[in-house]
Amino acid sequence: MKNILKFGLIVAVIIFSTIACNDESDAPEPIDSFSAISGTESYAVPVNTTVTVTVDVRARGLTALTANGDAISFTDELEQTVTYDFAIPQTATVGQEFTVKFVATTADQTDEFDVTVKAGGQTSGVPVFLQLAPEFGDVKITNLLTSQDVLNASPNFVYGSMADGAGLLANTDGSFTLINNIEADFSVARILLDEDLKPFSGEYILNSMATGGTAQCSGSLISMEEHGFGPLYLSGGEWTRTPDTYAPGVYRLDPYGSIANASTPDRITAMGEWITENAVAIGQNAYSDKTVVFIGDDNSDNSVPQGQLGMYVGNKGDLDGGKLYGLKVSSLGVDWEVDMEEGTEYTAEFVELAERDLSPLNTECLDKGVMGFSRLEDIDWRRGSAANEREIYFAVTGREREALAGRGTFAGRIYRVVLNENDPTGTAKITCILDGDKVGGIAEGFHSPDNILVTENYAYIQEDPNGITGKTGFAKLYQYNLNTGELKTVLECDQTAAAAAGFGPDSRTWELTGMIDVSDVTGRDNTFILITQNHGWEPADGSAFTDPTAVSDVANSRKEGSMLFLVEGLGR
Amino acid sequence: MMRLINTYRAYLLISLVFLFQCTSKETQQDQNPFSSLRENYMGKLSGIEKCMDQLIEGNAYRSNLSTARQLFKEVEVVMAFTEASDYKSLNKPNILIVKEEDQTDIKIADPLSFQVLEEEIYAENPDSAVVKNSAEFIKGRMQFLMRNTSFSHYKNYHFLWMIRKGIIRVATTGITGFDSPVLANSLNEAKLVYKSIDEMISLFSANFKDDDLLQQWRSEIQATIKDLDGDFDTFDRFAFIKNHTNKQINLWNLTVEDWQVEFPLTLSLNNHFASLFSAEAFNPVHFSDRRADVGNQAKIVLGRKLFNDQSLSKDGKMSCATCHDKAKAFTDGLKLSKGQLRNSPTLTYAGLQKAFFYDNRAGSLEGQIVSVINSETEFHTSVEEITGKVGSNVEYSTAFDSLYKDGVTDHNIRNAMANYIRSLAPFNSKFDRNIRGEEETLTSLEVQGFNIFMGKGSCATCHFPPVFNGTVPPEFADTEMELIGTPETAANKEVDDDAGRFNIFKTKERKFFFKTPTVRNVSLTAPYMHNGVYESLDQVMDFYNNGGGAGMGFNVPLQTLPFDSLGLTNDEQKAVIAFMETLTDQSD
Repeated sequence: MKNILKFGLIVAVIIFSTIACNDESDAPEPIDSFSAISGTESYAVPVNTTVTVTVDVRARGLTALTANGDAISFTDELEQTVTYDFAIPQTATVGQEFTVKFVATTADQTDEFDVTVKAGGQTSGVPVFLQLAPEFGDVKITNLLTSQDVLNASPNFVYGSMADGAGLLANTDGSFTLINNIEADFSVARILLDEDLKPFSGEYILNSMATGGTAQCSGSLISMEEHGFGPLYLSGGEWTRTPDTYAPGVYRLDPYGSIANASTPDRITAMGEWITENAVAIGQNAYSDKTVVFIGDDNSDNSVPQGQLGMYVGNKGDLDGGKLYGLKVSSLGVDWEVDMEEGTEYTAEFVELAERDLSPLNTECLDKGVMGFSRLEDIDWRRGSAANEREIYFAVTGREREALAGRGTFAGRIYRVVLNENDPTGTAKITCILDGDKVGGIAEGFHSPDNILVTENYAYIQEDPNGITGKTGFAKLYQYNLNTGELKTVLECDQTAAAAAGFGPDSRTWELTGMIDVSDVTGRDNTFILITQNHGWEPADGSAFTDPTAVSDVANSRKEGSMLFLVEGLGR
Repeated sequence: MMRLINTYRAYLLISLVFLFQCTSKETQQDQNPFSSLRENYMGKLSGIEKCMDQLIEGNAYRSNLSTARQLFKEVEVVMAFTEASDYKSLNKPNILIVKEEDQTDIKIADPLSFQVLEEEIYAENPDSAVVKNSAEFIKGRMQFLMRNTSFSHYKNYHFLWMIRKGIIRVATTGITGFDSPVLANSLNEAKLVYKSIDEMISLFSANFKDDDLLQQWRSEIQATIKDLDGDFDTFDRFAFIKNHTNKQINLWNLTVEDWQVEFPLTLSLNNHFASLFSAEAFNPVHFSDRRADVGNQAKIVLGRKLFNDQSLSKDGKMSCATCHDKAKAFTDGLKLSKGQLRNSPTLTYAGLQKAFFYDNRAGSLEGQIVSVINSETEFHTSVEEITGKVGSNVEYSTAFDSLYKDGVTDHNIRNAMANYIRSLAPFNSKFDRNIRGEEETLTSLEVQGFNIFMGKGSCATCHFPPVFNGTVPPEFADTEMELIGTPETAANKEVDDDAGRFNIFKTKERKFFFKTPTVRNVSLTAPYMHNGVYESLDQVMDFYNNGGGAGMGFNVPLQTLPFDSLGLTNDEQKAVIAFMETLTDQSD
């Protein structure tokens, strides 16, 4: 706990100006005037923190020195350093400014100097256990928040277990709002970040009561800028706490909704009860009058891959009145996903689906030949132009089972779907661009690619290792160049160092997830958010990294922690 | 799943008020019946929510639970269809839930459900925290359903599916005590279900062209409700299914014609069949792996040939039939099959499962075959090698070329064999013929045995009719495993050390769990249990009647079978055996 954070020196300088400073003699300087020169005037500090503001005073003949009216003791020295302790109140809002006014008085003059202290966020003291590849050595990674951290503005908030999908919004006051799925707590958190992207406070806007204990996996934002309406947040409801039952599907949230509604779920019936990993609306430029949402079905059948790519098409801005489709590969000879070879383009179509309930919908897909992938996970679309916005990429994490051989991927694959130029339901093209099972292939190192972020030029692929035979190492982040087809490893979780530092055993591999490009929304180029699900890292005292407002039954909750990172300097 | 507690029984008296709605067809037509159905459903969900509020506050536990449970049964038919997973979750037995997704992804949770509430509230000193936990969960689900259930995409075929599933659910799990383990209130609850079915049909009465058919429904439901008056232990389930369930399925078929409904899809059960106890009831596509390749007699013949072909194994001495002898209902009569750790299971009705091997490790017959082919103690070869052998055999390759568009492939070979195995479910036993009403040759002892199996003996709470295996009706989507504590020897001294499902993912909560097999053809499949420990059905009955392994003092706290005696007399045990012996298929 660190309710009171002694902040280091905040130094401002008040200098009694020396008019005759170029005077070569050592004669005493005149004392007939003051002039203040400001140093850094503004600081962001977490609430409920006592800041020691330090100023240098150069003066002669001081008769009084005060800060915010409180007398400060001083000496007769020409130069002296004085301090003043200022407490940012617990109730301060993000960016709220407080002034510490220093007043120095001599017999004939008074001067003032204001130091502004802002209520700001804080970053985590936990080290970054992500090992960058040498080529990406210039990338800067900051650990913003972990499950063991206490945010001063919301000291009871716990960043829970298996943080996952996320979306960032710019607020009118310069701060930012991060919507973040907390998968294993079956809930969605809202974290307020200050203007420097430091977490300020957190709360839950959808709790496990509302979701019936349905894991909120990946998520995506719908924004005015990218989609022409919003903001809205879509969250994929996938597996559940009562494990063989589901309340799966696409959940819709108002990013700015009241936490009083955290128990009130809104699931979009029209998008169907898929075992939803994610639901992603593509950019508004893809089609002039349509909103198109892709839904990833993380069905994990052990013998027949049946994770389908769902597509919802509605009029622009309408998420309820549209139609539902599934992707079918129509090229001859493609019965199973692994019949598609890496790098070969196949023809695909979208077949309309009439059912919405879990089992009938899945049956209808199977009957109509909708392609079954072995655990279709995260989805994203390419940025940069209308044509780019019709390029969809998705990760199939795979599963190793004898009965799935020759049918579904084991080590994982990445696919690209190029939609029809004029009509989202028209003929499309599909290509497996990376095949983790291909011996000697460029993606041979893949171990369950699970999450994907696509920018204009790159796809960033994040792993969630499932324990596939022959695969070694910890979860990696890859950068795939969409123009050249080059695949590079950006970083790997360093669980050896983490285990040595007490952050979970290295036998439980973490998942990399939740990566989003926040460059446009923050105005900081090449800036990303990235998350780790730190499987096996639990509080040493046997308690749980669980917020009771997310999951009321903390004792039986998932205990492990998560970490949230800011990544700066990666290409887009 | 088997009920955990078998000791406390109180019979709730539920006063049923039958509100047969006399609304005329004209006014019914004014409103979309689905809107009325939804309205009615929402009202009841709201009622459950209010009861949960009372339980959360700690008020009048028993009466609030009772009211909520009645409402739950009244919405069962709709909820189990519109939100199947919620229904299943809310109706879960009080048994630890374990789901093993992957080596790195194993989920374990306590259930939160009506059965948990029932068990806690009727315990000597109910723990208010436990009650509150489940009540809050149920309340949350009611709020979810009230806000998120949409009926707007439903058509008449959905409505008819709902009704038929409801009827089958009552017959296969509703009247067996499956979901009312503590209070054994199943018969009264079945009445509530039928009351709701009657209300539902009346909402859709405008659809009937044939008024007489509607009246037949009405009088059949009234008669059914009347016949459900009775004592749980002595209720005649055979007569109930034969006289009512079958009749209702017939009325349902007539309704499909009368309404001129067409089904765009087939779920686990076919859209047309006369009796659930028949091969025609099951949609083979639902139970098969490769959906396009089902139900072709020529493929079955081809599969049979492969099944019996010893040349496919490494040493040329083993075929599938080596351990699955048709004369023994496709078992081998050995305690453990040669070189194997477990007893050879019957392949009859094996196709009507959703998981394979005693430890459920394979998800399809086609997938299961791969493991046998690769196993060093079985075929000890590979799918590639077998494909090569089959491909170089002219007779086989000609057959495959004519039956499969891509000829001899690994998938097609396994599919042909799987089709043969799926064909081994004829439903032509003496019992089937009797319950379908084709003959009346069952003795009263055999009927009594069925009724005990389905009621007092609790057998059917794991061995679900009509297949009497662990595949749960009416969805037939899951095949369950149980921990019963099978002993190492027939002396019943200690639990067998085969850890079963545990070996797959090393999940300790799954130690000693095995799949529930069918009891069909059991007179031909001795010795019994996964380790062949018992030579006779008398020994098997004795084991269960003594409360399984836990009842015999083994350290198996997670046993899913009641720990205490079933309280069956010798004669009752004999009756159950007599019934099971009527499940032997006629050989062709």
